[in-house]
Amino acid sequence: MYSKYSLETLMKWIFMSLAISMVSLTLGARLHQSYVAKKHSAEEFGRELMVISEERKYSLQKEIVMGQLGPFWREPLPDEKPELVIKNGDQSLSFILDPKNIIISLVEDERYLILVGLLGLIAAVELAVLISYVLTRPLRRLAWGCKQIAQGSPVTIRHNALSPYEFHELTDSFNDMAKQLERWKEVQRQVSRMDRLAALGEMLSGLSHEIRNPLASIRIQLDLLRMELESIPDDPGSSIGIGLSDAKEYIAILDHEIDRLNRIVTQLLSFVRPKQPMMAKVRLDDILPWCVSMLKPQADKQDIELVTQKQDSGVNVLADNEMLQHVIMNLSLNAIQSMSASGSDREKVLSIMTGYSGTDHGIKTMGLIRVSDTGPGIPAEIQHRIFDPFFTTRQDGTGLGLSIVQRIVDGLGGTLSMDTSSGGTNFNIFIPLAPLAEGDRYDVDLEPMEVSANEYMDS
Amino acid sequence: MSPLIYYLLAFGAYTISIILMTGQSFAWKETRLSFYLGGRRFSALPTTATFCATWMSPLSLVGYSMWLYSDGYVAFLASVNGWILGLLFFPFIVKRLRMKRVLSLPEWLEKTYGDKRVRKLVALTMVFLYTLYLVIQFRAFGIIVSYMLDIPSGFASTSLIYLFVLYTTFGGYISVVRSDMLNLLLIVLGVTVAAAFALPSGFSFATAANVFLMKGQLETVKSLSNAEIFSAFAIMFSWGLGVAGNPQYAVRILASRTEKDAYKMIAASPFIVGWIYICVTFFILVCRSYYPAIVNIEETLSFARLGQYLPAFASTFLLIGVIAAAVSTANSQLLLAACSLCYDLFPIKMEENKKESIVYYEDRFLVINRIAITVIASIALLLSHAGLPGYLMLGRISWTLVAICFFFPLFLPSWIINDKLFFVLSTALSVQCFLVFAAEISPENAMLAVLMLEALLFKMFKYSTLDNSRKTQDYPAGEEKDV
Repeated sequence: MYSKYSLETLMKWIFMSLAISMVSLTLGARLHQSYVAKKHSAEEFGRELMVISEERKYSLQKEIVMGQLGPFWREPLPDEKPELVIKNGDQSLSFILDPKNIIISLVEDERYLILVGLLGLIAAVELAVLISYVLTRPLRRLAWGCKQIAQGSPVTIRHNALSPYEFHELTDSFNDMAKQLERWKEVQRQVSRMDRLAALGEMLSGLSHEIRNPLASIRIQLDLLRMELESIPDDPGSSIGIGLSDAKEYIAILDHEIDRLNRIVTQLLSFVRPKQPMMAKVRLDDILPWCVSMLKPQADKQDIELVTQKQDSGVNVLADNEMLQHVIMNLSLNAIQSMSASGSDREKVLSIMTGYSGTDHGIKTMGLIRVSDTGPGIPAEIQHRIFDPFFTTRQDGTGLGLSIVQRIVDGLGGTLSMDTSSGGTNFNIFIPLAPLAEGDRYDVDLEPMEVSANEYMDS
Repeated sequence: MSPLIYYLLAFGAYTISIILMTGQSFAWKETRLSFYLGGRRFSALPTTATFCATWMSPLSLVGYSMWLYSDGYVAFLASVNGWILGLLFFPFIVKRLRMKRVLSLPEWLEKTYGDKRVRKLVALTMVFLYTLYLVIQFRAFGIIVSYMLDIPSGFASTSLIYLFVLYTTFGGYISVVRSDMLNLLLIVLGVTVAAAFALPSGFSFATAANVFLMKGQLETVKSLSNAEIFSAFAIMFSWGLGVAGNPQYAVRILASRTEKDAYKMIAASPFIVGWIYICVTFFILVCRSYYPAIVNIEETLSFARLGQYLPAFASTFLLIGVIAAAVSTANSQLLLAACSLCYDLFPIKMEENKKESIVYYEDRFLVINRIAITVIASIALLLSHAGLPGYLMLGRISWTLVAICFFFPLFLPSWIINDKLFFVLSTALSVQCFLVFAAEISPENAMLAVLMLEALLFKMFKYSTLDNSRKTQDYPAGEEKDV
């Protein structure tokens, strides 16, 4: 069970008790001191008056003697023992100290001190409130953060400049914990994805095999049929001639569709059974002219400007050239389709850049190929799914393009990252550099392409 | 025993009670709603207590008492009647106010009439008038404490009320309500004891009746000239409307747990407030009859001196009651002024697209509120030493501004043309300020003229709108003519 009192209440009580103790102690000591001093002074004065009166043999009225003694003396009651006896003429006047009047005088004199004590009390409590505020606010934020994490939302707690350093440490630890939890969740996501893909791959592999065999048979039979038809003499005027022409057209359509089916099956097989990359030194500079030759006609047809840019020269990566081309081709065709489908008036530009990325102590570590477009970007709600197999937003797409791209990049030991906004999308392919001959190193003076850390996606 | 010891003991006890009763200041789950309205979870009893405690300011106790002491029943007619008249208006606005689920009256105006400028204008006026009004509380507290403890007034007010008020206001509405419950108890106790021990021969109903009907008391009313009667009615009217539109009370209606609780509060408060006025009136009438010599000194000091005719303990209760009245009104007004400043006038915006902003935003917002509370209290404290006019004058200036801002929007919404409200209110406030501060016309007379001007403008705009809509109906689309 939670206790009912808050930290503030606890602090308030502690501070108030301390303040009351301090005030009581100080004030008590001071009041006692003053009381003793006043009493002593009254006694001294009384004794002096007694001596003077005896020496000079005064005979004064009782009221005058009392006036001389001041308010701290009074006449004793019948059962009280006098503390001062003054000879006044032929009679003796008895007096006793009046503590009540001494206390009244004391309070009047020390009222400022009492007030300061009260002020101290309020100030102590307000201080308690302030301290508990400083302590509880960061705790409140941390409690909120914990609730967010429990609900599955990623969260980062901000530092409060007013908090003591222990709270900064606590906040840092919390943020680290939250980050690790996020990473763990990502790993879990990856593992689950791999499991799904493995199951899918097994199924697709069987399915593709089963489809491919009848497909080959259909193709053979279709070729035979075509040959048979071509052997029949063509008579355009006769009814046989018209039927023959129609049949040839139908066979052409069938041929085209079988090709398409074959392509899909091939794609499926390349997805589930990727071929082993033939790793060799690939010069990125050589890829750009190939890109132009392959993509220019497509881009021109869609009224898209193709820009290739060599950020750094002489970048050699260790990869399979054919696969790398396949990756660039896939990403570029996606970009072209995205820009042509957008229908926007904005200038359509497909750009492919090559260069270095990242340094480790001044030594280049990765080659980079960036494929960028000025399309409408990828909506936030589907960004996490675009690399999933069979996820597509196009009616005629298989949804395997980006999955294959990612698989190839993974197979090449590289990483793939994507950043997208309403102004366009960038795909960054990071490929390990080819090892250099002994004594050689990549030129460190070259500025690497700027890729922010958070753009990296764990492949 | 010396009265000083009584006073010191009483003051010490009050200080410790405030510290303990006010309770927690920075609640763990505090929000704007809990800070301004206590989360709308107070039942009728605490809400009635805070309503009445806020009502009883030093103006109601000291200002009214000393006016009654010098001018007799005319003070009762003009002020108490006016205040009670204002109370009669509240039942009409309960539903209207609570329907909008707002945190402040300026926000209610914006939501009801759809004009952000009106909210800003009214909030600005509230900050001004509550700062001015706080001066009364600070000054009264300072003088009473300085009289009780025989210390300089500046020191007393600076060191004590400042801390009291900040302490109770920092906790927001919840803390204000808690301290108000204690304060109301002390006020009721103070005036009751003062009334019970006022008569030198001891209290009896026959003697008390005689005091109320004494020849000298009634003659003060009979001898009034027409101008004085008009002035008294003007004051009564202005204070009545001031009470009716005062956001201090409207906020308590908003903060009630249910509508029923709000009605209960409105039904119960006249009895408590009425009892306090009867006791104060009786005490002052006794003093007026038996000890008429206290004249030509500052009103709070005169009131404190009247206390010397009571037994020491009764005088202690009475003076502690005045302190309680000052603290209870000051913290409530300070909270409202801070609300107007931080919530209505310069609201801080939440960072968009950052969900963690929700928790940081509330924290930051409430810290800024507390800074605003400190700043406003400090300004009021400085002004309390600046030689401003007396309580009645400051009260009259404040009440009239309240009436001008809120009377029509609250009680006659059907008169209002939404897009003209800002123009009418800003004109009315400007004219009132000109008449009071430049032309030096008494605030209540100026207010009557300004209210008439407001009514005229509203009616004029209403008429022109109706006229336009009628003409638009007469000439269907395509056939409109210039008008």
